[in-house]
Amino acid sequence: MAKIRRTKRPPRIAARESGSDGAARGAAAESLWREIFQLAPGNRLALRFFATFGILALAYFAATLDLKLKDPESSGVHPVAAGLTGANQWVRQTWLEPYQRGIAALSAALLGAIGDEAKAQGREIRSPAFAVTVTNGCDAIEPSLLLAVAMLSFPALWREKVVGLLLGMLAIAALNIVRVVTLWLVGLHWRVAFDVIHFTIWPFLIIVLTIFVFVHWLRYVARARGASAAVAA
Amino acid sequence: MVISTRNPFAFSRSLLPADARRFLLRLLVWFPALLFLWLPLGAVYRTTLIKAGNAAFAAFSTEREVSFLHHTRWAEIGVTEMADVAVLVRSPHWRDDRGQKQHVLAKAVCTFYQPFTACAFLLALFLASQIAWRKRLWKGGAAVVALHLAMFAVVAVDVSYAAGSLDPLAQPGSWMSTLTTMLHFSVTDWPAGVFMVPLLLWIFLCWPRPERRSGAAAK
Repeated sequence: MAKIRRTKRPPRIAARESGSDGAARGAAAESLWREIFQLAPGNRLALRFFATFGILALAYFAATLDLKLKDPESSGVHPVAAGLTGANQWVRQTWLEPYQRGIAALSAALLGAIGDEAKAQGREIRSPAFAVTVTNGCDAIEPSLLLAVAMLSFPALWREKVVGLLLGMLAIAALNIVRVVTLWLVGLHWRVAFDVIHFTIWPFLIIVLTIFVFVHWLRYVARARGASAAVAA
Repeated sequence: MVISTRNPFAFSRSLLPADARRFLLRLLVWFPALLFLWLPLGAVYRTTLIKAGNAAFAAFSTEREVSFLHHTRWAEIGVTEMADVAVLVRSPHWRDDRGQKQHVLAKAVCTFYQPFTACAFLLALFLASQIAWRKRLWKGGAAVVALHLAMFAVVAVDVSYAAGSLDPLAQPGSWMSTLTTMLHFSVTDWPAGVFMVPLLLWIFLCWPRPERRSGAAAK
């Protein structure tokens, strides 16, 4: 049986200690990452997926949620917290709320097209009988984020990733508009079922669509690989 | 009159590989089936959750008394009618003018939505997976335990936030207080987490193991 040889110290780490310039340090850091991945070769993809998701989820929370410091004066004590709160407000006002207003306007326009009296006012869709607000969680950003992480982590060509991301996010956004319109109609005509459909059925369907889109994209990638292999042969 | 000889389902069949299609169909069957278990088992599940919550917080919290209560009088404690369990926190320092003990609401839990739906989705993912039944069961069980531990961690953050906001001994501006505040306004109030957290747990537990390059392979 072959034995795995272990050296006392990996040569690349030894190089990191002896070299003092930045290039040597960079090479040593790179080799360290390579060694971490070599410890778990089959888990490399998993590491990449969970690390990317963790970072993007943290960024998403920091940027979009309604962060409130209990003691506003503590921002002087914690510049990081103050910076996060500032960035959070900028992202919310510049990107998130306009996007949510767009969802409300498009949904109200669709409802108007089918003869409903709904009108969009900011992030609200209102009528004399019912009103809903498109807020965080109603914009389907989280499943889009998950899809993006899955596609970015998967070893595919950048062109394939970009195509998958654009089409996948578009599909999720389109289904989300359908979700808002149907929730409005359910709230108006079948109020008893609103909470179950809002909190259970639609989130489940959107997650199922996310899985569907990702698997379909995997098939597209596999077919593209197959076609290129056939051309090369 | 024959409009078309083409099978209308042929397009949908070509969209996904057979394995993925089977998985999604099983998921669409298992999830509603497990949700319907709420009707016969909901009350038992709620009681068990309350007992487990009280036991867990009694074991780990010594300074404050944390109690999970089945609450049906929503208006009295100012929560929505969806919530059926109230997590109350009480400190020995909190007394009113008459010297009576006071408590504060740390979290209102809708048992059907927060733990049960997440649990049903998690189990549905495992039951729909094409892995050996023994693996489905033990991995599903481990994932359900992890999910409930995550939920108790979220409750602990909310308890800490609620206690810190009223406790005169709490230090505002400390890094712990800031972290608790940020967690309170982010992960503890994350509606999409009900489905995202089970999905991530399932991905983590079902990730294919790397091939072992040990002696057997070297032979």
